[in-house]
Amino acid sequence: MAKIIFIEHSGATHEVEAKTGLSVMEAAVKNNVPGIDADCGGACACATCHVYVDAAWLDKTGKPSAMEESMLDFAENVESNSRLSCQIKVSDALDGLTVRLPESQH
Amino acid sequence: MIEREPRVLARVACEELSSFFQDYHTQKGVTFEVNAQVLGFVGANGKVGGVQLGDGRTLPCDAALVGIGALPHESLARLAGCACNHGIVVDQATRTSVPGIHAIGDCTQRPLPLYGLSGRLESVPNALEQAKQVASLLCGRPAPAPETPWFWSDQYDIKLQIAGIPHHAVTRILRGDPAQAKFAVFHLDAENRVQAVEAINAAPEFMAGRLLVGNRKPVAPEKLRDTSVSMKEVAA
Repeated sequence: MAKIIFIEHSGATHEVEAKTGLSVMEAAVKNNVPGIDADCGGACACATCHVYVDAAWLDKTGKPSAMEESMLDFAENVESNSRLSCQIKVSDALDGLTVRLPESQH
Repeated sequence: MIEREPRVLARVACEELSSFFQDYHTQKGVTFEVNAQVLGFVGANGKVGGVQLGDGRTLPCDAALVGIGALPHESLARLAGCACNHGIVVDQATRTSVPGIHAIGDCTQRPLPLYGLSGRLESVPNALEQAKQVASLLCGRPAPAPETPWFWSDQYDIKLQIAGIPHHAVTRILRGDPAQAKFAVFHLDAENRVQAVEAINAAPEFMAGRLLVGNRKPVAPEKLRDTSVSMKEVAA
């Protein structure tokens, strides 16, 4: 289990208890956190689950795969700490993970 | 795999993609029978034992997975008085011909504004697009912009992503290398606008291609063909 903190573009904050093994995207969607569309359901096929990982968590979340990077390349407002949240797996090590959401996913 | 048509995926993909998938699956040990008609099944004691083909052969089997397509289920819509024509007819906002009744998803015959046609789209993205349309309408919000149809399929380590439908396409451009399992086929109309793109492990080609299908900007075919030119540059 891990507590994940989602901060919307507006500043509205959502704290979610996420099960180990789910993706960060699934934790958001299952808990009705707005701002993550996840059109393809987690297949790394749509780039609409884009999040910004807080600096303190970059090491623990790791780097994106080549496929994820290719998809991210075409998302909007991509920064160096951008990730597709369907590719980040929840684990105990990510307890307290904070991610910020873009203004829109499309 | 028993296929009625001369090639697999004949309904949804171009010949280059059919060949690629047939070769890939064959390497994994799958046997294909194309141009093959299935007459029925044989078996005993409630268990299937074989598939009868039109050419007289019976292929023995322990199990049969049947994936022969779907027809739209119109009976409820017809009972309600909704116009149906190869699906429940709806407009871009998902309205049927009966005020107050909406339909979304695989069963709808819907406008394809990018192509000036209508059609049925059996896909998750289509269902999501139409869901957002009807939700916006019911909540009194402005209608979302029409989306470019797209599809995906994961097979082994192959990610297939398709954007658009190759209506009005007159040219096919191959970008990348099928032998490396990393390529895309672009379908261009007479003005060199991308009507559709089929991408295999080629996310940039899919993402840029989908943008191009939607914004209808012409491309330079020679740049498209040249993998040393990035898709961002092609789409600029």
